[in-house]
Amino acid sequence: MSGRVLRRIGSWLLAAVSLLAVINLGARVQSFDDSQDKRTRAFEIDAEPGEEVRARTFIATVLSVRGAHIIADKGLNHETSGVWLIVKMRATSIKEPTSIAYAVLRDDRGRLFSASGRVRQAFDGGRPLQPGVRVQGEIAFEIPRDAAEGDLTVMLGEAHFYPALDSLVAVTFDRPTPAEVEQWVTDPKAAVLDQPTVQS
Amino acid sequence: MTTPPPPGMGWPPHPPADSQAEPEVTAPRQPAQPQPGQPQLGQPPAPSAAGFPAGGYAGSGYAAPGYPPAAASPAGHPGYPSTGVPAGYPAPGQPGPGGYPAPGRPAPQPAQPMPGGYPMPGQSIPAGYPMPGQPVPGGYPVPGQPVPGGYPVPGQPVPPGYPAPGQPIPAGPLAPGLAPQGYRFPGAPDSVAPFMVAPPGATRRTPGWWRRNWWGLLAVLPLFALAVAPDWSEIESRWGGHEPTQPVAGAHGQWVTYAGGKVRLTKLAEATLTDYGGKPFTLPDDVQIWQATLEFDVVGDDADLNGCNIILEDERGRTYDSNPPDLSGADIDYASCLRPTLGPKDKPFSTVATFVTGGTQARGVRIIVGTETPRYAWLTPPD
Repeated sequence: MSGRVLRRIGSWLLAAVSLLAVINLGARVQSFDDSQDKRTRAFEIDAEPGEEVRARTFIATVLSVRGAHIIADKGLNHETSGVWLIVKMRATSIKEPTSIAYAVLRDDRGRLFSASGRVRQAFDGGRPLQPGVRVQGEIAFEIPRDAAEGDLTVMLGEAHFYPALDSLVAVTFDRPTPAEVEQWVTDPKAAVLDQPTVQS
Repeated sequence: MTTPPPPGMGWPPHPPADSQAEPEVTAPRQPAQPQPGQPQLGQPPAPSAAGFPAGGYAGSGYAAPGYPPAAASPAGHPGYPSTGVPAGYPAPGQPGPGGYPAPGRPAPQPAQPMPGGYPMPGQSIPAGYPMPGQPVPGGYPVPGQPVPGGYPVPGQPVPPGYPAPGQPIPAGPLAPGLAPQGYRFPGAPDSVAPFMVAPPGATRRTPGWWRRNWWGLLAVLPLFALAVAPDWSEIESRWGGHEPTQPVAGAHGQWVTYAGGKVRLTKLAEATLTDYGGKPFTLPDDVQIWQATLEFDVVGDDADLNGCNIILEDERGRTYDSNPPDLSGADIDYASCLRPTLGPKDKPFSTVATFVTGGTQARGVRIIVGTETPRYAWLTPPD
């Protein structure tokens, strides 16, 4: 078989192998991400408690977390069968007025808990933040006891619903001790949320 | 290169002129019988004829001295000389080079060309071509074979880029195995240099990609404009139509016509506030409170300007809402672009907008009406 024929056969074989490789790669890419939620997920910015985090339109610092069995608001006591988890935070906007309308707690089983609508909330619901003016306050979440016994992550975003394809601040707290959880659940004293105040 | 024998070689040596030896007289040899078609030979030569040896004559093909020339032509064959052998041509008795007519054999008819342009006997050989009997340089045809397509026939000049017969293929752009663009080296198979073969004598190379496609490149811009133009209004609306990007400005403190009315900024300064109990309303030291006094001149209550937003802009381009929640508890009016209910209907009215900033200097006020975007009124305080 002449060299010319051999080269032609080789060219065809190379083209066939390349085509098969491209088809295989395309099939893998197509099957790599198979959900709309995954494709439009937010860009999480992980941070530690006390660390100032810069999202796309705001800057936030999650300061501390405490628990309670009862929250007093507008003269009424709001008792829970689970645990009130109260998160203290500080935030400001960057370039133009904005608000942190998305405040969600995630436990170590992946369950999500929105800020409670039973009490007035400092930031959730769209309180506008002015550039350079830092506002500090607390947000309350009502969660089951087993959620309070694991690692908890506070997630903050601008959009009212899930901030798809936008930045999302995620601050994870170490799991509280069983004694702490017990104390939260059995504390008869009603907690009062810190209302938002302008900080220097 | 083998040198043909000098004329006379093959002839039997003749004694020097001053030789004392008696010439040997021998019986004349009978001449060889001529082959069919060969010229008839005449009588044996006389001894000591000029230039010829005694007692013998040359081998076949040449007319013996004293013999009449061949019937077809003098001295043998057309083109061959009567005396002396041209350089490169075979000596008597030697076979002729391939393609050339051997002495004694009939030359090609005058109407028949020599193979591949090779010269007739006696003509000069073109530069670069081999002498008869020499090997033909690689790729070039031997006499009688056709010249490869695109190559010059013998006698024609070699086109630029081609190596002359016998010369090595130059390096560089004409590296061994690679032909100049559009050319093919002699004998190169199509798979090695599958380029179009240029006609003999061609000196121009194929135009490059830019020269062949300049017209298409020029057409890109107008075609792009034609593709975008029909949807330009939608593009403009989608990308910038809802954001205030086009200011409508006037001189410092002067009226600006916008959204069916006129508005101007009469004052912009830091302010100290009190709460509803008359006590000072304070904020941290690095937070400033600004107040802007605006005057509106609007005819009727249906102008679009009535539904405006009042925004403060600082020296860094950051913007601030009027009457933010940070001023909750301060004794301030709610700023609005609507005419006060109890005020006069046919005169200008004013309003005061209060802002909170963090360690920055205020520069001016924006009045934004949603239906007017991207246009907005840009107001600066009087000097």
